[in-house]
Amino acid sequence: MYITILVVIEIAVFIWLVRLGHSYYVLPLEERPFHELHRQLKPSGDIGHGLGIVGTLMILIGVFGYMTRKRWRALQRWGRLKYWLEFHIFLCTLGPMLVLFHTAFKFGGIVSISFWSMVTVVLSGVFGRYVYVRIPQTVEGRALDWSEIEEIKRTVEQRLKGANELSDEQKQTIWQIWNAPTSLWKKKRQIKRIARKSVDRGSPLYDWLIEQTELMHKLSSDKERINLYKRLFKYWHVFHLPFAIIMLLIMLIHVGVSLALGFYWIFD
Amino acid sequence: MKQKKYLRLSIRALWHIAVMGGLFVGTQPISAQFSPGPLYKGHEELDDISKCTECHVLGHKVQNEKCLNCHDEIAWLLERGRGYHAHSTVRNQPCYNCHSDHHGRNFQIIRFDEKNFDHNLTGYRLEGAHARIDDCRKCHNSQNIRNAELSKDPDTWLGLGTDCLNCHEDEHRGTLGTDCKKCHNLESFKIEDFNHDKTDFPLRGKHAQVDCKQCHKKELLADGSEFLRYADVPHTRCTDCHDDVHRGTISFDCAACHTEQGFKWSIVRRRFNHRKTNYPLEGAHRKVDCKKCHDASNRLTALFAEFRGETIQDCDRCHDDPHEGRFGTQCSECHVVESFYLLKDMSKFDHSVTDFPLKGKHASVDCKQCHTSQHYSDPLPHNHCTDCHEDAHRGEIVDPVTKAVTDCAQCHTEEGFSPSTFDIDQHQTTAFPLEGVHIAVPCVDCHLDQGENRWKFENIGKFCVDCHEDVHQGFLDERFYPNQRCENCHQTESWSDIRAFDHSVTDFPLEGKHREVRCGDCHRADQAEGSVQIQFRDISQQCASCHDDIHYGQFEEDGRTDCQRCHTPQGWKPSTFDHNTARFRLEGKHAELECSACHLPTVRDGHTYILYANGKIHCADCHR
Repeated sequence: MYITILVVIEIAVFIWLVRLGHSYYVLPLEERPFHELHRQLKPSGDIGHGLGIVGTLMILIGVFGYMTRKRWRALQRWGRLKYWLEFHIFLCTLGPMLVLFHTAFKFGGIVSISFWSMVTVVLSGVFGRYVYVRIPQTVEGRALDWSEIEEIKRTVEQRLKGANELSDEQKQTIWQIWNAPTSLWKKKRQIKRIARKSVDRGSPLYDWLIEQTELMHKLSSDKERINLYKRLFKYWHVFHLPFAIIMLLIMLIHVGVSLALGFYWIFD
Repeated sequence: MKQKKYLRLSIRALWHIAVMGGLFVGTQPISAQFSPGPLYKGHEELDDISKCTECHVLGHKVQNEKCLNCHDEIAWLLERGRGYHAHSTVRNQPCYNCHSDHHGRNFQIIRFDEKNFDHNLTGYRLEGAHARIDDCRKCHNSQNIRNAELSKDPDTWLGLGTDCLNCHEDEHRGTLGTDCKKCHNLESFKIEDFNHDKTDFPLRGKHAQVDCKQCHKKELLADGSEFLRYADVPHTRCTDCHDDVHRGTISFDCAACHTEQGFKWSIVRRRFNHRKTNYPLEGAHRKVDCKKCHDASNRLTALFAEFRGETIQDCDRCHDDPHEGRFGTQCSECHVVESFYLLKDMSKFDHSVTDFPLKGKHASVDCKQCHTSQHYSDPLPHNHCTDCHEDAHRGEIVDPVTKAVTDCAQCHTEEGFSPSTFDIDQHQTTAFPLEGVHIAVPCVDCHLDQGENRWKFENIGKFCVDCHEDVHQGFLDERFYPNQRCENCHQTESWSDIRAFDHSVTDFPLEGKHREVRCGDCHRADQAEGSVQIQFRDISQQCASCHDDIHYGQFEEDGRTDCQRCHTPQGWKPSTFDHNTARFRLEGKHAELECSACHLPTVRDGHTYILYANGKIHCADCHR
């Protein structure tokens, strides 16, 4: 639900911006000054400038909020890191999107480095997120050892075997499905089909089977693959952070030049 | 240890990214690093990081003053409150509202909607034909821009003057000044309602209808161009524009005869004052059309020149002499110019010049008997005698065919009503040709109605009794003259000639000597009560009723003497008496004797006659 709201907000904002400025943004640069919304949507316009400022603030909050939470031990009790990450992802995708519309799709000058850096950071964030979710972790976000994974698997297997409502054959089939290298969606469908034969929908066992399908799917990767993801994720940090720093540095220059030339947005 | 490793890796990555970024950014000039976009080509020289403040004011964006520092032509206009930029709705706006930059080299920094641009904001309203011009560049082009600097910029909208001549060529070559609006309006160069009254030559009459170009003609200037002259067109004399068709043969000014209403005769006639000539028009001459005296068929060069140089014009120069010289040539002795019919002295009036020459009795009639109106010249009907004379015949004399009243001249002449010219020959053509003694009868005997005491010619009858009294009425059996037709007995030669009557139709056909006797011998007239009446009826057929009995009753028997015993109509002698039928037969010598030998005259009762019945039948009666 939390993620859904954030996604909906992002999509809504995107649709609103596209609908608002589509006719303006598709014009060649030489024609834009003659568009009726030019004064609002140009980078220094009331809306365009506002998008830049709000987007920048979102990025700053998203980056530094998450970094602080993650690195400052004093804040470790402030919410689960998982939500912080999701909020970080939300702000740092919505913010760049606003900045993208702030640029009015003009990419030039030194500030473009900031922009492309931002794009790189966002794309790497998406990639990072992809890798991250494939690394089995604790609730706190700590990566699990292989032995811990093995232990969890054994516990789950024991619990499955203790389920009297299921036949042995069904149990065996379920276990095979859980460990098969297929997609989560396919696994869930197969499990539901088997479970419905013996267990009522909504019963604790049914829900448990579905939950364990997700867990087992995460744990289903073999040891080498998990280690690969872990290594990728370590090096990803090396990639993700420098671009963020470049983005922020040039953004500062861009903001400084703008302020120096008197572009105070609505505070003239 | 691990974290240090990551940090080193991060710094190294950062360095590599910075170098790559620097290389990427370095492909563009330094000015582009902070510029939001290239300046348009007009501002290209300002596209340098060191020149940002040429336009931008630190902390205050772009100020108009910065723009006007360079664009002094706009500043010049603003100072003088002229042009579009000086309009109140424009001058207070930031320049960049309309002329923003950083939109690329090819950006049109000056672009406006030509179709919807409100030209009124420039201070020069587009009106009339100007408002209909589609292409702004028809006016806003370098040829029309006086400022040399501005005229070099093909894209500029500045530098256009508001005088007409700024854009329009002066077709009048300066001859009409520079204020074109005195004559032209903004709708069209063509002037529909130019008020020529403002000029030295107000258009009147036909001049007002003439096309301008008829007087304002094109001239060919020295440079070969055509020029339509409107100013300083000669106009003091008519011949400045019009040809003198009279070629100087007329000494008067054109205006003496002609007006601006046209060259028509009617105008010339009204216009020209003939008193200016040697022959002032008086009387009827004033009403006469010019062409009556002046030959209109003359060529214009000879027109009105007939009398030129003459001082006295005799009437016969124009008028025919109807008197054929009988009254000389000085018409004015009798006539006045008011009218030929008004004479100074009526006694000299020659009526023969009129359509009714006076002849016969007419010549001696007093003028006023016919000319009863005020003026002798008043038209008088005169084609018919009855126009003046009363028709004594009361319209009775008409043409037998047309039934129209017969012209008096058939019978009468101007020599008098009597005698009439109607002669016997004409009478013979009437329904009653004259014969016999009628020819000798005076007209009055038949045609004068004594009762009405007037002549009558129609319906007076054509039978004898219509004129003659029927004296036989009551005395003559109608079977001998049915319907009183006298001609059964009488001839027009003479009443007494009644040879036409056939006595054989009567009860007493005439034989012998009867045929030789006069009618009156038998039909004797009885004179009674003063009238003579001839008896034709009830006449006894006895001989004695006509004849005397010379025998004095010697042969009377029963009181009647039958003469036919002895006599026949062939004559008294010889008698048809046969002595042998008598008592004394003649025999012997007796037969040879003369009657008188025996029958001797006797006198008895005073009558002497031969006694035939002497009763002598005895010898002794005679013989002794």
